[in-house]
Amino acid sequence: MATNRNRLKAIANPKECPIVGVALTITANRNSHAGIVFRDTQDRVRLLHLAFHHDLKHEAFNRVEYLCADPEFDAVDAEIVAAHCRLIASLAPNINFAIHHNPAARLKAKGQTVNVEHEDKGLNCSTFVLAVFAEAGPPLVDFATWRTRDTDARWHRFLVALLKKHAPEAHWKKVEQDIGCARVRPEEVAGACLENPLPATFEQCEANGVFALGEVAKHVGRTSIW
Amino acid sequence: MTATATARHVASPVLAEGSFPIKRITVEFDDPAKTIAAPSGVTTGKVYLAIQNSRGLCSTNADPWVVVSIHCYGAESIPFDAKEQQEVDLFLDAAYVLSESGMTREGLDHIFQKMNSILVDGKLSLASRILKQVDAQRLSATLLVGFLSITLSTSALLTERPAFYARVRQKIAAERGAEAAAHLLDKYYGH
Repeated sequence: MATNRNRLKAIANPKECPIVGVALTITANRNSHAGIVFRDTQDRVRLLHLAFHHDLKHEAFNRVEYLCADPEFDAVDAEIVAAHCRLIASLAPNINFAIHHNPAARLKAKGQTVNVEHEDKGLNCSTFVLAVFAEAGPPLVDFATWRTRDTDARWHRFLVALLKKHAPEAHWKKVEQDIGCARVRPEEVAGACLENPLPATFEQCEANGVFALGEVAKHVGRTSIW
Repeated sequence: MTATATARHVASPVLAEGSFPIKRITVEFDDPAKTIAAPSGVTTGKVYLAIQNSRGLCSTNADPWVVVSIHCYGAESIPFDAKEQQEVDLFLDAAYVLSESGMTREGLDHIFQKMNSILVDGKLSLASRILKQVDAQRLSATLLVGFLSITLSTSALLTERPAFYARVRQKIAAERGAEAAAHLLDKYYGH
């Protein structure tokens, strides 16, 4: 068991970016946010992230706004995860937003759409990353070790209030029932990548998450208020 | 129905053209060791072909190869069963060429797009047939694992997948050792 915090890095030069990794930022709205960094067929560095309800974004990786956590996968594993990202990006699915984490959730293409299988609510930025890695490569976290934390309920309530403006009532009412559930924070998803072997435990991810949040705050010049 | 291109001296890529949906293309060179990488899937109108010889060497503008003929076959000229097999052949031939050319990401995208399309259409017997026909010796470890990864969620429904998995494992164990093969492939064993 080893933690390597040097795996969290600012990408000064695109050549330094891994084939696949977890991107972490603190947004202008002062919340942490995660996505998947991957390389395309032209070797460009891309970012795939679930911004919110029906808002999956595929764009160039912004090295000013994001740090990158490199899980240092075997090259084969890394290429497979990156290929899954390219397939999902090409299908540009609408993904429902949810606040809980279901480790069985999988992204499954159906024609020109992608469904979230084994899961009737949806994903968030963190669980989107976890679902892709669980489907395509080594899973990042051992969710069986996860704990609920009182401080997450406030963030959940904020998200559900926002969701009410963007999603049908039938959907947000289901999501609302999960307020206060165990939450894998974005910085903890990035924190999992600093561990070997995977999947990482709650204790490992929580400690690495505190470190990662501090590093990304220094990088972007903003702190998270959540 | 066939159409014949006029080019005789070519540097990769070659343009072949037909006025109907093109299902199959053959190119005859002056040297039988030279082959083409067939395009994948159904194509119409114009087709660019990557060409190379058995040693992976491509023609160049400075040293163009001599083409004896290019034939483009229309869909209606191919019987149904042969049509499906032709689709498999075209798909796998392109995968082999991409692998042998070191174009790993293009190869993965080629495999993921095609296999995903086949699986979401519910063509499980076709997917199984493809796995059976994959020549594991002609694909890199990454592309072989790509086949396992994209078929993982339907592994219980693909009759040929266990045998394919065994072949991939045997090849990767021979290349990297049993422990590395286990580390890479245990998660793709399936149901």
